[in-house]
Amino acid sequence: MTEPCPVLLEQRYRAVLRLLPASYRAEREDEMVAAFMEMSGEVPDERGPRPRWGEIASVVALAVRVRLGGAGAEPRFVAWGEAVRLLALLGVGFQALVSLYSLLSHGLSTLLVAPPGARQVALTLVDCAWVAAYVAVMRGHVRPAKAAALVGGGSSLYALATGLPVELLGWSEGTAALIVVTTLLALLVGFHRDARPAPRPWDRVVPPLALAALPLALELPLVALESAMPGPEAEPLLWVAFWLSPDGLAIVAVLVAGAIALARRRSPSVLLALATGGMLLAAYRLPVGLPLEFNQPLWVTGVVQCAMLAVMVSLLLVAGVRALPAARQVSA
Amino acid sequence: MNITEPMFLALTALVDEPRHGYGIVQEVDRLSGGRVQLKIGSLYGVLDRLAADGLVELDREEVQQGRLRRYYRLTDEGAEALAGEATRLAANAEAATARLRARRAGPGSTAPESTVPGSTVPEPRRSPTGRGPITRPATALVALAGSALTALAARAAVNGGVA
Repeated sequence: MTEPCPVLLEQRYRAVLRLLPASYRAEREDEMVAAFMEMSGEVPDERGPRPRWGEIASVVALAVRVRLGGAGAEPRFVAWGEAVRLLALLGVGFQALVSLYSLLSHGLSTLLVAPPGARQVALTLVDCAWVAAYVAVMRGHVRPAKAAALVGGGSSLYALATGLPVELLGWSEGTAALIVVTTLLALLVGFHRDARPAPRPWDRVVPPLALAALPLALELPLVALESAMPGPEAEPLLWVAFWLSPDGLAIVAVLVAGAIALARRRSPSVLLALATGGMLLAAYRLPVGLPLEFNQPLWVTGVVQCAMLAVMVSLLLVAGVRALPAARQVSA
Repeated sequence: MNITEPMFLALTALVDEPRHGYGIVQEVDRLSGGRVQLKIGSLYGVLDRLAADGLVELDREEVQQGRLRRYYRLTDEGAEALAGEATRLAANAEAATARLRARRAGPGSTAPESTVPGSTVPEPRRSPTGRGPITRPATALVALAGSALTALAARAAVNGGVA
């Protein structure tokens, strides 16, 4: 009696290969299925054969690399890969600036007011792993950058999860965690084996870190004025305070960079990376724009910032998607 | 170009004849003594990289028992890159072996200069007098003499000077 022709395993391998882009599958699927079947031997369907987890993981890794501009990828995927890597750079840079800003704030409050708690200092110091991650990735050292970002990200997420009692954790903490996780994911998957960053010279790596002092320098006179004025008279200061914090300045930066990128018709990768960054910032700012607690300067500023980001993100998305290279047509 | 171990083994697998995907997996397994077992997803990642760099190319297609087999062959650039990488690895291995040999010989001996990784094919090492290449027994003798002298000097220092 002859055994039935095994088809179940082949079907399952083909299902796993659907993780790959259609254009890649059109070229490679039959060849890969043949290799899979030769490797596993012709196992009859009765035994219920399944692809092994290691094989599935290797296809997942291949799918990520191909979709993010791996070797020989089509131009559309190269553009997506560049967008993800740019988003990673923006995110790591933002986290590095925020951690340096916190460090400077603690230093200043130690000098002028009172030293912060040991927990706060420890978390801020560990958070500075983001600075190491930024420097490493800008210098082209991907592995150390990923390791440092994991340390910084872990510290940031721990601080977010334990900073407030569980019942008070809300949208802001959730979206801040989303920004951290998105940055980590973009860094981990974007800079794969086939996409090593070119090392940038030190004079382009270090100066941007000085921007961490900017929000502090802008906020200091405001705080001094506020403490010198009686309560109601200080209210006008609140109108600007929300633009001068690190996240407020990041919103301004995305709006300005977005406008420049649109005007100069930059590559789709730049437009899409800025659009994603803008979306994350808008999500973070959203609760401030909701009149839950009536504080006019705060929620009006929140509404204005969210509205401006919404317009900019929409424009960037439309322009970015339109500018993407066309997908390779796959014949049926 | 950074040639990883799977890339190196895949290139080596194609030196003698063109091979198809599973054939490369088997040959890499054999070459590495079972230490490197390429998964199919990883294999095609490696082949994509090598093809993009022009180190391998499609040789032919065959259909066997209704299944597609694509054979890949090594290009001239691939052979050149493989030779360069093999030389670099050989130089590393030689440097490591020489240092280990000196270590085994004793603390007073000095390790021969290591070859800089990535350099071209190393010339046969000459003796300081230029008479001929240093042989392993000669290195061992020099190392032995070195450690004997060191021990003598140490004993002399303890006893208050060399007689």
